[in-house]
Amino acid sequence: MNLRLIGGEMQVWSDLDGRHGPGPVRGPVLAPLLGTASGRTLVLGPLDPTLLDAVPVDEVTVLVRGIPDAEALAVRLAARPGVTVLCGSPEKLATEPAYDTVIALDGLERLGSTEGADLSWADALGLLVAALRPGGRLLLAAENHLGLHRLVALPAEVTDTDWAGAGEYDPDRPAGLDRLRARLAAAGLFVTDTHAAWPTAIAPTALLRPRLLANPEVIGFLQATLGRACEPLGEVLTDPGRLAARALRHGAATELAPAWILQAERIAPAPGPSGSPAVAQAPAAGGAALPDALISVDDGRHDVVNGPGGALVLCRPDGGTQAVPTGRTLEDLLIVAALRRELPTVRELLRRWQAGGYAGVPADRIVATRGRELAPLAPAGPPPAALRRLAARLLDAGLGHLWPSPADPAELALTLAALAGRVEPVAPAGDEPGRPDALAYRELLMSRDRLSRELAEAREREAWYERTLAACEGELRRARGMLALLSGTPTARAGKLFLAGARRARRTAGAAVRRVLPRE
Amino acid sequence: MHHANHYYGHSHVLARYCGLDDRTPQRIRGYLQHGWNIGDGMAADHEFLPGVPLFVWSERTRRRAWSLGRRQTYVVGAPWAYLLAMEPEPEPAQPRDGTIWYPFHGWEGQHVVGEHDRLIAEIKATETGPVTVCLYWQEYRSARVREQYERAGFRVICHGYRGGRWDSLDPDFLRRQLAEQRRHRRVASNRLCTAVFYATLAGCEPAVYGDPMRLAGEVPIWGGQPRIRRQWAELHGAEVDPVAAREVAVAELGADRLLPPAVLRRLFGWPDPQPSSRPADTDADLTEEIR
Repeated sequence: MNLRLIGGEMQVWSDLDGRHGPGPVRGPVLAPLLGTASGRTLVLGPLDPTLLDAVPVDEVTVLVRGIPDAEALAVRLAARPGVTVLCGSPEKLATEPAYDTVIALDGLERLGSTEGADLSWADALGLLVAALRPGGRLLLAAENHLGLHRLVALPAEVTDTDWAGAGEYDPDRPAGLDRLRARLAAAGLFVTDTHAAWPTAIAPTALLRPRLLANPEVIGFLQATLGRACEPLGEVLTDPGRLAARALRHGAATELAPAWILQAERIAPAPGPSGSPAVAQAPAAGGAALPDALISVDDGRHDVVNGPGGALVLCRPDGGTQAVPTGRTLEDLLIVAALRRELPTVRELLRRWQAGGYAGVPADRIVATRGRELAPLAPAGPPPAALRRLAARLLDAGLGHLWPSPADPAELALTLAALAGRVEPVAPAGDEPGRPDALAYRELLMSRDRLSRELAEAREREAWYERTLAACEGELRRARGMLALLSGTPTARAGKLFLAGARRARRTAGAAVRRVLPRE
Repeated sequence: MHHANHYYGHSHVLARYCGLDDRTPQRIRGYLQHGWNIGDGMAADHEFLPGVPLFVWSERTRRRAWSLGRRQTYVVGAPWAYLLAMEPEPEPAQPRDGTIWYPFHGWEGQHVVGEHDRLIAEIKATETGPVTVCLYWQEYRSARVREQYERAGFRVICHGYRGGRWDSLDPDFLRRQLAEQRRHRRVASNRLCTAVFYATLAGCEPAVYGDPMRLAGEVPIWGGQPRIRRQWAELHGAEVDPVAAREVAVAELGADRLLPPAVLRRLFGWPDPQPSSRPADTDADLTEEIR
């Protein structure tokens, strides 16, 4: 049996089954990070067991705190004789020999056991550093409590795993990437690589280096990437994709990333007499082996690497490569032109999109390159669906007032189609996606306000129609009366005129009498 | 929504452009600007319903309207510009001669205060070719005013009645106006006004000179004539740079913003034409044609 209880283990606890908290850290995009492990490797914290297959070394130790998790892992990893599963509190690791690689992709918050020591963030980091041999490498994730996933989150549900953590109020925990790096440096680590993780710390699908996130040349590609990554966030305060796009525009995407994954080397003591750390020894090659970006999409993983001459190259899962398109998304260009009320530009952009081969690719997934070409970043669906998606996104962004259309996705889609010069109707189809962020409260509030306004306007219109109808009915009555007077034989007409005159005279006389005589 | 949408046959011209019946055009789902002005594009005495869009001629007017609190205001361009797009000047152009002169006029219920004799003297002193004076229907009906101009040796015409409340509508008003303007080399008025812009777009060289007169009880809430003279100084005088004037006319009439028929139909809430009567969707760049 490759399972060893080291003390402090939790008898009936599981992090992996997801019933007591958010479940393990997961996502195939993390596999290449695990693939950088070398030498004796320690993996701590809840991690999707399938990811352990990506650790390419024989001698692997996995530490979890719950016995059910440890047992399940032991069974799963039984075929790998070099793998040891430890169960218990991390402070018990002190008795283990040092490791060449330590991996904590869930961060430090879910390492401690109810039965073990009350570990602060610094305590836990200290344990990890102590478990690392000098020159060894640490792979550490840290959730950003100012991350976009938290900015858009509804109040978090308290789970079984939150028995004593101070969370974002923890004064000991470094808040922000710079402070995190500084703390690692103070702990004797040299940070060799950083990736920002999106859309959540627990299930990232896109890992991007800060220097890539700050590259304005490829902002369209980045907005499309983060927009897609943020789509599955569920019920939120506001559309996270739009917020991510805004963060990219402001060069703040790294600061607002939901998590950071850092690689750091434990600095070996310098051979000199002073014994001061030899900073110059780092960095090592481990970080450089990773791409600038690892992006998990439906068809597999797309990597962004630095090609010859520093050009960014996108490597597709099918083995093909292409230059990362430079420029902004078509949607961004459309919005800017619409905000400036440059309608001819708006029409030209829409026409170029809908008349070309990418009419079915959503406008927020197309980069309009400087060479006026369109570079799709997603497969094409039905063009009407792409138009309706654009319409819904424009309305949800609060930009409905820019368009000569009722603020309704179907109506606006028809107007966009007309502006694009499409002749066929854009009727809703069953295979269309719903509104991308219908679960966002900001958009719900906007819809409520819009509906209230439209109701008030409809009531005023109804009153106006009522007045107009009354006026028209009056005119019709008069016209019919005139017609009746003028129809028939000359004798009949004369008779009618006489009678009408007599009636009028009687009415006039009656009114005069009533005016003159008192009512009594 | 408003009977003014049908003034001057505007809705008729647009219906024709949209491939629809231009004898009995549909109601426009909104308020259509029906004359050039320096306010929000709409007539001051109109009742507006909230939520009903305003369709203005130019981007400048839209910005002004927006700044005045008007929302749901969209630029569609002037019906005149659509008419010119549908009926470009034939090649080769017919020879043009003389000046078509529009004395400032009041509208229904308004009266102009000013000396027609003095204006006539100024026209005679300025114009070298034959002069056609075009009067508003109110003045044209006044034999006294009409004869004043006729005595001066001018040809006196009237483009017609602009239409009432869904009554006495004139689908051919603009067409007649265009035919008349295309006979003249110059257009002039004593105030910068819609007709001057129309004729400039139709190829006349514009001029604005003479006593601007005034309306009885005129309240210049948007700055009046002094503002017009300041803002469009380059269009005032007996001789005006025709290239610069054309640029201004294109912008003020929204001739650079004309929309394809399908878009106009969407905006106005009009149906698509029947396939048999559907004209070629003039989605070609009308802006270029106009220029």
